[in-house]
Amino acid sequence: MSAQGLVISHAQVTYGRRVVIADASLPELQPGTLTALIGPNGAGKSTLLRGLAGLERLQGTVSLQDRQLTTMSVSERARLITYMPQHLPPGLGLSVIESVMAALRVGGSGGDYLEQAYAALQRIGIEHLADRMLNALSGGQRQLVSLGQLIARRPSVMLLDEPTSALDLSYQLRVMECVRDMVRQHQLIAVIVMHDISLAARYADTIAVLRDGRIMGFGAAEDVLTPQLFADVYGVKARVERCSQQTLQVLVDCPV
Amino acid sequence: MTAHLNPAVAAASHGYRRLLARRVGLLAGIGIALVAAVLLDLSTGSSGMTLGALVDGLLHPQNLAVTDRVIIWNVRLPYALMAVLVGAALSLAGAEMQAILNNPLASPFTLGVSSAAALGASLIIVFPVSSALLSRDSIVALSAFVFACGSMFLLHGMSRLRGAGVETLVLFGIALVFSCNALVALLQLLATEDVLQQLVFWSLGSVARANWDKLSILAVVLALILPFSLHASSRMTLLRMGEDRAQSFGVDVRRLRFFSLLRISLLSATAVAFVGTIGFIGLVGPHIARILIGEDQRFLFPASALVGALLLSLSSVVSKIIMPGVIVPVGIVTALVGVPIFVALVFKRGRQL
Amino acid sequence: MSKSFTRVWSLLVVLIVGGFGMVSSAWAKDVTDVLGRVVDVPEHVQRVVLGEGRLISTLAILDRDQPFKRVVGWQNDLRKLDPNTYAAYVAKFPEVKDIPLIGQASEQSVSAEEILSLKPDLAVFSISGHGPTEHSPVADILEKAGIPVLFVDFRVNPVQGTHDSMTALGKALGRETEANAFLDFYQQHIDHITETLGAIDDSKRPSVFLELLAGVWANPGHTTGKGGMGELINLVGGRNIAAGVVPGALGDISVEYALKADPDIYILTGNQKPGVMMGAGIDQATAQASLKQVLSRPEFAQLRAIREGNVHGLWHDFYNSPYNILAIEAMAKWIHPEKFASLDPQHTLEQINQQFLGMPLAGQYWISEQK
Repeated sequence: MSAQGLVISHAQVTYGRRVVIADASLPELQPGTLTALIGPNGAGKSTLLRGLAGLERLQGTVSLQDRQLTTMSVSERARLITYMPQHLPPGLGLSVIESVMAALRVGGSGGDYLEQAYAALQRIGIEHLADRMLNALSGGQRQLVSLGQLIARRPSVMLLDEPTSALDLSYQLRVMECVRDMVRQHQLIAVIVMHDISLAARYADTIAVLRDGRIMGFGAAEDVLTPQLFADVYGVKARVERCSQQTLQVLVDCPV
Repeated sequence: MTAHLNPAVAAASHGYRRLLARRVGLLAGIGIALVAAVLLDLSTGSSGMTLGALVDGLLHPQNLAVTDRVIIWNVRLPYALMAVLVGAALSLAGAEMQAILNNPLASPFTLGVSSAAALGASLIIVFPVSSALLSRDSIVALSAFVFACGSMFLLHGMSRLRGAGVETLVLFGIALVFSCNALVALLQLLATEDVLQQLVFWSLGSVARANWDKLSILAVVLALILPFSLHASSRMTLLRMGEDRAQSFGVDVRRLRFFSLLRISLLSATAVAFVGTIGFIGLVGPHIARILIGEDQRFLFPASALVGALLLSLSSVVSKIIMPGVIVPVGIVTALVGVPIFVALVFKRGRQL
Repeated sequence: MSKSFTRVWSLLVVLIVGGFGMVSSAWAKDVTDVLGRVVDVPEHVQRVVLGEGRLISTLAILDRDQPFKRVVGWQNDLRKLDPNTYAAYVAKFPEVKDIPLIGQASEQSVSAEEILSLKPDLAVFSISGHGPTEHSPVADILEKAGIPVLFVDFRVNPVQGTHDSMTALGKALGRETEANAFLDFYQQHIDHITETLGAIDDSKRPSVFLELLAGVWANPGHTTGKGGMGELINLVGGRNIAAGVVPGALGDISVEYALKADPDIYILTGNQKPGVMMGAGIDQATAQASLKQVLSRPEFAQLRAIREGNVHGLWHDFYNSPYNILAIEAMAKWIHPEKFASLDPQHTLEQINQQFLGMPLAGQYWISEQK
């Protein structure tokens, strides 16, 4: 049976002699799903994401629609996967619209870059910032521009490393809403590294838990986020509780 | 161009095009300032020959006295053109260096090109090699050039061993700078006094060493390299937003860096081999250009080249007029000229750095 | 036609043609300079540019009554590096102040265009030092404009250089008589030294430490090696402690090395504060005081030569002038006082003043430390 989505099998990443990702395998990530990657600090989440993005040497199998990603050239891979790093884009002397256009221009698919860029900004709701310079924007706004660069390229896989950690609540929700909408509408695959478990639980279809370079759990939020897992992975006494249709709350150190 | 059905897109397009037009206008403005600076450079000199007299001498060469002919063709024209070409080469190299090292303190000499060139020249000056084909001057320049380019390859090789990022490259470059400088200092110890004087003379950059051969070579090098720089400029813009980001968008960062280093080495090695070390232009030219024109490298590269040429032209003028009859080495003057312009722009533009 | 008319007419023709012949062959002449270059110099050199201002010392001999008559441009090194001599010249020839500058005191500061605008007939450069040297682009540009460049040397090989340079300059300026007269005098005195010294064993040579511009440099130990003043030390029977250590005419030795070498004789050169004050217009008291002051530097204060009273001061610019014969004689007396007991450098100076100079050398040009 051919795979439609992203398959990660026995992934391994080493820095010199230090093994960061030991043996990570995940069930196939289906198109149209958003997977949150959580785990304690130093678990290797960023490294795994960078390995998937081709920024670290990754051994093992990573394939998308049965195509091996690890052997692809930089430009080929860039057409399929885009990656948003943790740090905000710098406040440069570039306008918002041309930042997005620059991202389109490389390995460009042709067409009117301006239109495509503007459309991306509209999706996120920052089209009114199109002519503003990056160095005149706040951090949150720049993060949205970064997201705009990503979605303008229409990748098949979006990898986002802590896209919300530097943002206030409203921006956090905006980013996650936007990503989820893109994923649903265009049947993309998104893998997002997150620290905020509640936020992860709210938006993710599946959650993968990483500790010491190994996958400790994978599945729907309520299935994965058991008190046992909290104890094993975080060393914390906690549980989740469903508050509403959308919200799962993480309760720490409460008597059950 | 396809008609925009969406009025909002049309408005955005309008805004974007206005931005581009403004940038092109700025480029043109700097270009005009450069032409004015060159004319000023051509009209200054201790002989008192005016620009009018110079042009007249060009148009009616049969009327010229020998001394005046030499002043026009061997002093004023070569010095002025050399200032333009060297300023452009160093500043363009500086812009590329600041982009690939992602560091506003970077200059074309950060990774050791000029130190290696100085070493090459010093070796030949202290241990002369005679050749029937080439003049002594050419051999010194060639040796400087070979060492400068060689240093770049050495650097690249060393950084590949460690699977390098930018930090490794810079560290190796710094090591190279200090090693070459130390070796040059050692050679100075071994040198007799007249050789020592030649070493010192070589290392202090001056456009007064220009001749038409050097000008043609440098012009060719610049003309060949500029198109490649422009071709890489879109990718460089992305690189400025972050190495990881750029790579994920499809920029082969290692290749980009390698070829950029190659261009930087060729440009600065040629410039240094011909006129010695002229500092500051490669550092501050791109900064001034960036304040004026922003971070789109498609505009920043040509703007840097123009600003660098302008700065060195103005410096050349100042170096001639500070003390009558005496030339102040242009390397000292570049800072005197560049810093006020730079500071004025910083104050004017506020926090946009 | 009458016979006498034909005779007169023929004589006239011969005179005219012969005269033309003489003149045409004398429109330019070949002068060989210190580098062995054969330079085409015009017959009557009226306008001279000096690459180093201090080369005026040569014109002071060759154009003794009006040394500055032909100088249309020079570098500023005389004023900057030997201000006392400059002041002495200005006092006698006030127009010196108005001579156009072609540079400050370094090769990089020389303006080719300024030299060209002065339209000189001849440019005189030293092969090394503070002005344009052999490989300087300035020399190339002047050559393109048809201006002959003559290279001289008093620094690297002082004795041979004096001979070759004065000969070349004499020929170039049409002052062969004056040049030869001086060189005869010079050679006579050199011969006297070498004959009196005779063959000398190395073990009999007192060791000498010659510190250049003592007290001026932040690091002490600036001295001479092979060539330069070192050659002069050798000539008068001394052994330069820096020979073989300093590669060229000028260089530095470490304080430790100087102390270990323990020289018999210590000579300090200078010409202005903060060093030893020697040269034009300096009186004995000033020179002595400044010498004492420089000797108080901690690094060398314990030298045996100081304790034993073998310390002397010398005018610094002997190292770059034809007057170096005076330095030679002064040093001969210090290094071998018994052999050169009858040598009288002061008398030699007076002879030079009388026979060769329009403006005499007046001042303290050498001195021995008074205990």
